[in-house]
Amino acid sequence: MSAELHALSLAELSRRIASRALSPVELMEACIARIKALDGGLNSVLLLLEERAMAEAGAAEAEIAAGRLRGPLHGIPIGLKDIYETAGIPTTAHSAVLRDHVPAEDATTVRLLREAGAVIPAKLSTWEFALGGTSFDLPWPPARNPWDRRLDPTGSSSGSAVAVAAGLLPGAMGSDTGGSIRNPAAWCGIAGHKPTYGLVSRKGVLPLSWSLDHAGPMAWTAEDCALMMEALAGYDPGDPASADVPAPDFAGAIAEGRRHGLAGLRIGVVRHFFECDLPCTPPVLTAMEDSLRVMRELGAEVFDVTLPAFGEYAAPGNIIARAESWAIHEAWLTEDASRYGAYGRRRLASGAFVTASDYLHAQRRRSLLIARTLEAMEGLDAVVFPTARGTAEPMGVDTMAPKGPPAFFARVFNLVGGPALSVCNGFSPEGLPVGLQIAGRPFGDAMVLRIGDAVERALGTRARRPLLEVVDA
Amino acid sequence: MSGETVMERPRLEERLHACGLRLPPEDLAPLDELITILDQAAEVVRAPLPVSAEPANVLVLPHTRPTD
Repeated sequence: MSAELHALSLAELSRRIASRALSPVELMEACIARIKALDGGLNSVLLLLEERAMAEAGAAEAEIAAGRLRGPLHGIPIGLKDIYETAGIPTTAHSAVLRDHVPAEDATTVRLLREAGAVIPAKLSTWEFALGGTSFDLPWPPARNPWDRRLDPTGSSSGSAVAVAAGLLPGAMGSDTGGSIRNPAAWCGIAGHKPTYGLVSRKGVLPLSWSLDHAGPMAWTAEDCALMMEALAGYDPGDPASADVPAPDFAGAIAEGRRHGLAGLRIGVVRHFFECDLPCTPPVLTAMEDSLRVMRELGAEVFDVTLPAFGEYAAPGNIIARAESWAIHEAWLTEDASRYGAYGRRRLASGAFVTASDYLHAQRRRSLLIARTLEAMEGLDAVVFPTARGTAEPMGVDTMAPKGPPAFFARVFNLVGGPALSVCNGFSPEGLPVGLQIAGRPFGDAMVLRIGDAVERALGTRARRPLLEVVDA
Repeated sequence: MSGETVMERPRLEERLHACGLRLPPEDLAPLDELITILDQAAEVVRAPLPVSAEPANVLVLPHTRPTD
């Protein structure tokens, strides 16, 4: 993107397109030029759909010029994590297993984005099957963190986070089974929203764990995610877990927040998570206190609350995730495990050792955890805690390794099913971004995004972008 | 789940073969670590629960309420 365009949020680009100050063709040309100039050093794009995207941008431009603006995503480039199926376009899951997989249909979310006028210019890198970790033994290299290319963006929606943070694309789709939208959002300094389970269809998104998988948006700001959710949220009979409920008014919630701040809202701080259960680094703690201060200044009532200890969520989460992912991959793994990367192969294979009894006990425990969590959140508009314990770590450090405490707080709301958003709430002294997690009651997605928007604006973190130079791959 | 904290190598290989898995030798030590973590998680989830506790209905998770 040009120097000016790449620094604009999806929402601002959308406003310029709507006012015809910016053409979708100009925007797409700028995105493709920036991808070609910078992605050789970032590895966020697996497949660039240049010709097709330019044609679609031209069609969007003609439609808008004829007075038929479809909505805020019309003419906006949106990248897809390469587990979203795309009709006639390879969908590889960043794995040799699916190197030649060309789906016949678009995922429901891809169809919805296209119907809203978005243009799909690229399939984006991921951890293998959204699980494998940052790996160097796959057919394509892993994405690198644009704030410092020596650092890991983490995953699994690594390419989506990197492309947005680097200003290659204004928005992207990710998936979140145990933090795979929120974790890379935090380490790359963007916004990532894990919707309420059932609010966004997963039909056509390659599964990892049926009861923990969520599809959702990643973009520069919470407002951008809200605009994407306007197109994405809704009932899909093709997804057995889809909820037949009215979609929230995301744009209305953002507007409400801009008029009234956070006046009258009650926000719980899960302090034991980040001070006792998984103690965080000083930059994360400083950013957390800054965030709580601005929430109070914006009118919210902010106080500590107690949820079950983080470890209570981790155990059933691990059992459920591994059992379900083994069931999904068993046939491919037993046919030829050598097609997988080492990290993915080992993690998936471990699920073979979970018994049916343990899986069901984990789901029983999950029921109780959901009940206890929602009871603790009664009367609250949201709870907050950090997304990650620290800032990005060097490439090659396996953040999924079993030794040591988890690096992220994300699994809690995959188990509970409620919405959880990560926004950038500060920077370390080294200039690396830090993430705040804002989680809500089921279907409280609009409220969570409203709070995220208010915090981002009050803290002013969205004015800072990574500095990037053209580098040889 | 084995119930052991660390599975003996021959037993691990035997279990892998029983599952139909053929993994390279360098996978065995890291896999054993992962299984140990899962064993520990299994101990947690096996702790006694009220008899009335049923598995989460994964198709309607967000609708799960204490009073439902």
